[in-house]
Amino acid sequence: MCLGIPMQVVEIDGAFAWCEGRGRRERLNALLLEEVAVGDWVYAVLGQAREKLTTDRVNEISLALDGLAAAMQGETDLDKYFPDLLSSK
Amino acid sequence: MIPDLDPGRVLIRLACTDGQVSGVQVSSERPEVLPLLRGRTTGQAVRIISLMFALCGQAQTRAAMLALSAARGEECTPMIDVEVQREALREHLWRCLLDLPPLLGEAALQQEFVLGVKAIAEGRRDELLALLTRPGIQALRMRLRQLDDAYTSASHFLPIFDARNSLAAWPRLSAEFCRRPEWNGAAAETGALARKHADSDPPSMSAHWQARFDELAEWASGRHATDCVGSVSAVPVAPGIGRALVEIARGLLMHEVVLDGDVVTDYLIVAPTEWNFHPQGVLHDRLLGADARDRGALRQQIARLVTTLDPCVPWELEWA
Repeated sequence: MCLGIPMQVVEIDGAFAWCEGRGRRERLNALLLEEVAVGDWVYAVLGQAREKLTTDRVNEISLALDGLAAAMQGETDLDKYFPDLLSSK
Repeated sequence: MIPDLDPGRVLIRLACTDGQVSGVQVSSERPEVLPLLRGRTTGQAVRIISLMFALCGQAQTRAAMLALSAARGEECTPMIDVEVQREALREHLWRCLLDLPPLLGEAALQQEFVLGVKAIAEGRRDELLALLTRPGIQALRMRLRQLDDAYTSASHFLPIFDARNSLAAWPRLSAEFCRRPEWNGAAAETGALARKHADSDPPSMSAHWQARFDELAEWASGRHATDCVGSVSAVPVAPGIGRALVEIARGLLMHEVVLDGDVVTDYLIVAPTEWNFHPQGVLHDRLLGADARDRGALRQQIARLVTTLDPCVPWELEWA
């Protein structure tokens, strides 16, 4: 199981991109992306930028990751982290 | 404030005595997703899983959908899922063309990787086949033996399972099994080499890489069976309980779900990393007794071994 984290590109470095997200800064391999520009959001996993993300998807994934972090810290009421899911229940 | 999220890790802790590794502890730690899934409807559970898993997202989502369908009584006999297979082949390509060359002191084959990813995404087998015969890639394959070392492992290869015949080996999954999966009471390796039914004794590092290249070449040549990488299957375990198996790049992925009506009450995932980084598995066997006089050299050797076994989470080494 391998979690992905949305990160925003802040600098291009050849085939790599410096990205920031969830309080981290990482140099990601961006070879899987045909084009990448400063300001783009990408899905980061194990040092790779896997795909570009829309801001809507960034928000959705970020909230879900917040929910996972909250669950790991013992929080049990997790509905607020999945508002779209509950509205389509 | 953003809540701190620990994505998990493979932790290797070594104890050394008189210049030799005298103790090896391997643990795989990762976030538990069950609290997010319990109490959700089946549709919500699939959506959460597709949001959470990135590296093998197609496979995880497919496994979730099949397991949930199986819990409602729908069996899926083994078949190739094209998208899952392409995702797995892309992972192989990443390992073989970007991760492997530096292990052999060479630069990553970035241009070939980009061409290969495109060929796989577009289903252009002939282009991948031509790519794999390029001199740079052929030379890489010829040098794989340089990765081999004197360490040995007694670990077994996991046979190929589909969902139905997995019931005989594991009638039900459990949280403990998810953490330490075993076959016939012992650790077992899963992945491309295991899928080849290879009986390499002892399993060498080069054999793992050859097996990945072989799976790429088999797809490129149009030769593959329904039990190869990209295979999916699912079976009802009992009323309201379903299990799905998917063969991904790293090996066997299993999902088992328990439903109460349309609501998830339990969800178990066994990922390949738990097989390949089992506390009594190949890492333990290979490292116990290893020469530890030069810790830098040993660390490099462990890095090669871990990259070869390919965990889906970061790894760390600690000296006790």
